[in-house]
Amino acid sequence: MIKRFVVETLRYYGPPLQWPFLSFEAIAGVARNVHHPVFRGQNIRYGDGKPLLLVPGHLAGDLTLVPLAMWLRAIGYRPTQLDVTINWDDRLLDKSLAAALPDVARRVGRKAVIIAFGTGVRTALRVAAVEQGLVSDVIALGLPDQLPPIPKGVRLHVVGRMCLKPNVLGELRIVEGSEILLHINPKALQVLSEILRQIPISLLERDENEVRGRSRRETSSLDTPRSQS
Amino acid sequence: MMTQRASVNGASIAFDVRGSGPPLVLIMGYRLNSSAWPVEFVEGLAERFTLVLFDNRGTGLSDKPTSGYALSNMAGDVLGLMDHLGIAQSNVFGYSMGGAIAQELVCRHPKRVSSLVLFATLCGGPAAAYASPTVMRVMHNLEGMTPAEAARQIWTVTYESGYLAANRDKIERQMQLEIENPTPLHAADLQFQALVDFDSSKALPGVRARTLVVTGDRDELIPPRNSEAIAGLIPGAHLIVLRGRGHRAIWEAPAQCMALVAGFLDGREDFDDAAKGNAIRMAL
Repeated sequence: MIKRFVVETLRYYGPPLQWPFLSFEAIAGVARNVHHPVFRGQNIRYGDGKPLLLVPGHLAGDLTLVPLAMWLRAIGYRPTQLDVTINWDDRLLDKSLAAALPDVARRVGRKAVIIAFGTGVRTALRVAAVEQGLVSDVIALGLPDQLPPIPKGVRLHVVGRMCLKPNVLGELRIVEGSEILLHINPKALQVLSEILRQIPISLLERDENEVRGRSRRETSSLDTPRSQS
Repeated sequence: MMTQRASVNGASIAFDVRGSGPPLVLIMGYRLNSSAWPVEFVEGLAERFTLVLFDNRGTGLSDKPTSGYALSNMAGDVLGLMDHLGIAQSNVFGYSMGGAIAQELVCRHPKRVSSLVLFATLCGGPAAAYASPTVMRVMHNLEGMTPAEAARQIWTVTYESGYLAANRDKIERQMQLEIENPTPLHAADLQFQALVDFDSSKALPGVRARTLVVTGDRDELIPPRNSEAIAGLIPGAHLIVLRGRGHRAIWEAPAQCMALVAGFLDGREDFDDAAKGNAIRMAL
């Protein structure tokens, strides 16, 4: 496990000599982009309330993804974080994701979209393989070295740098910038919003009945008049 | 309760036709279905007009598909319903989101609209003034609530506060009507998304239909500035501001609103007298 941790850390962050440079790059990137119009929702199309699950990458956690979660909520989605302090081994996230997924999907009555970073993509694909009825799409921001198979019926969208493996199955969108800062990279967020907007709503089976006009009465507490005007 | 159905524009739309006289299509707002129209308002109009009442896609007894909620497409539903009923041209009344659908209809099919009433609505784009973040939080933070709990929370921003305090029982009865056929979450989300995407500001100067724009001066959800913007964009539009009324002005003062709308559609110049001094006719 320690070997795996070291290998993943070196893969993502390079040798320790590079870390001061990476830290500087991160700070400079945040300072440069903090006033970017994307963060104010400019030129971002509004969402359809999809349930989203956010899976952090290597050595990241809920805290890292708070800005992304706030931004996604502001542009019309329903993001949920996994209660992960730090992801130091993606296999340990499976349980959290598997526990959160049914609740998130059933509360909204739709299949969820998992947004995963780096090694978190492996977690997303493993759990999606078990819960195919609850996941419509996985959006990968950055990719790990090895990927589990893409589950049947689940679409994979990949956002990342040019060095992405070209043989990855799924839609590939290239953005420039540091892979470990994709969650606050304005271009990546723009692309993410475009992907989310294109993903059609997939109702859970029990909610398919709602599509026809003469369906049964509503039962879910969430499927209620939220706002009436 | 809607009694008939028509397959139009790829969806089954529930509708009803009442009254007699020139046709008047009523288009309901976000998330509500046609059973929400105040009885006094509808019955009063039905004495002078042939009313076409229908459930927007996603609401009431109409289909609730997972696509097709762009307001231009929902205007296509209205057009399809008019075709189905053999109505070549009609008066059109749109409330809130229904007003946005009415704008799409008149901009895309100007010959099909004889007169237009836009009530408590907006035109989107740069001219739009959206609700404050506090109001939006009230509208959005409803997860886990029952339909009744959610509706009670929403009251606080849709009804005028004084009216709400004095008429809780009446509003409660109205709410029970409205939640009988609740709108599923996916339909509400897609309607909201369509409303955010909506922008008719560039097309409105081309509207030639006789137009009345009405708003309550205490509308917190769609601030009155939106109606001022619409009336400023449509040539010759009349703007009426109802004093002391909120977003739900039609429910707060159904008789006054009915008289105002009927007077305007009848072509009377003094149509705002119907509001008995509670309406301010704004000079544009």
